[in-house]
Amino acid sequence: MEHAPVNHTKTYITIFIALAVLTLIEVGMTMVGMPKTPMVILLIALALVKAGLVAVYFMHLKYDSGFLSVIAYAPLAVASILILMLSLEWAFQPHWIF
Amino acid sequence: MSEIALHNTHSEEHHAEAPVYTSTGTPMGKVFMWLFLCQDALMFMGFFAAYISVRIGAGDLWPGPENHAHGIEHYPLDIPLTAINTFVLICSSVTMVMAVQAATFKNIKKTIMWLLVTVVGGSIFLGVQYGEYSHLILKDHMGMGNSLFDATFFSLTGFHGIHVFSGVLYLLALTIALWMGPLDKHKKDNYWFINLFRLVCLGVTVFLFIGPTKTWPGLPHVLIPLVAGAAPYIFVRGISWFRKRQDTAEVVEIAGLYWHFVDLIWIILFTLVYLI
Repeated sequence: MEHAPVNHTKTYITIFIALAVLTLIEVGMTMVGMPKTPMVILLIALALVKAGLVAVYFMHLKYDSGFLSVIAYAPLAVASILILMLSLEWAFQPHWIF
Repeated sequence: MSEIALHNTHSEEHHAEAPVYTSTGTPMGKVFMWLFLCQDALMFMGFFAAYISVRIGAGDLWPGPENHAHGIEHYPLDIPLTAINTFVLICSSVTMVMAVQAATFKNIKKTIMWLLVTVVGGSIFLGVQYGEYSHLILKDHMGMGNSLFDATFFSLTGFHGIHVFSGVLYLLALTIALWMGPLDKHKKDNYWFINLFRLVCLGVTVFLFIGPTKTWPGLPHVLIPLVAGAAPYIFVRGISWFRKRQDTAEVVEIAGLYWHFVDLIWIILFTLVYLI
């Protein structure tokens, strides 16, 4: 069961730089006054990418057994139900972003 | 029958040094931390869903940074300051992952150093959030009961802030436990002053809960006894709990999972509450 420890420092530094740059891009986007709809979609996409980087590399989902990934991704099933229900609300409140 | 039972107890004691694995080959502690994070993520999702539906309902009336940019409405949230705070939390996530790596290489000194840096990062985050809260409450007169904007802001960031606060205590307890010497299941740290301190903490919790805070309405009635009495109790209890673990790398990795989760939630929260 024991694995020989592997040095991931380079990967961690790369992910850190990616997270910092993505945060800068996010803040920059709000400053330049982009149109709302593409901005909201891009910001949510960037946040999901950042969250994914943290989960996969920092929380070791990439290196651990797939069993943990199943637990980790289980809440996403509930999230999809919530998104489905919220999109109904989108449909009836068209003045917001769409 | 009793002989078998005795034999089993004996063999369990004999193999007590080996880490406990589930049938999937993953350590038990890690699986359960992931299960805890899973339900915690569901709780945050409830908050996010409520926030998004309230926001959709409010439409263009909701204050946003782009309104602020066009000078239409006063936007109270300070995006650059919070962006720096986000950066601090991301940095603390990196230092945490370095602590986990140092622990897997059995380098306890480096583990303690990286853990301490992480604790400092978390504390800076909390300090900035305290400053932000006091500015918003005292200068901008924001409050839970004022508007949906205020209520959702304080409940989302406050709930996350409680997570960061718990995380800082969690990591600090772990750091102190590692600093006291190698973790050992058979060690019995039973100091009279620690027992006395725990008794005092319990007394303070009960006294505050039934005593002076009873007249204060709402959340402080629960929060103040929790922070002043229960948190130090759990903190000291946590140190002795960590002292009795056996696999340092696993304990640090499980703590890391919690800390990264707090960072992950903030990444989504920062986008939803501050930027959009």
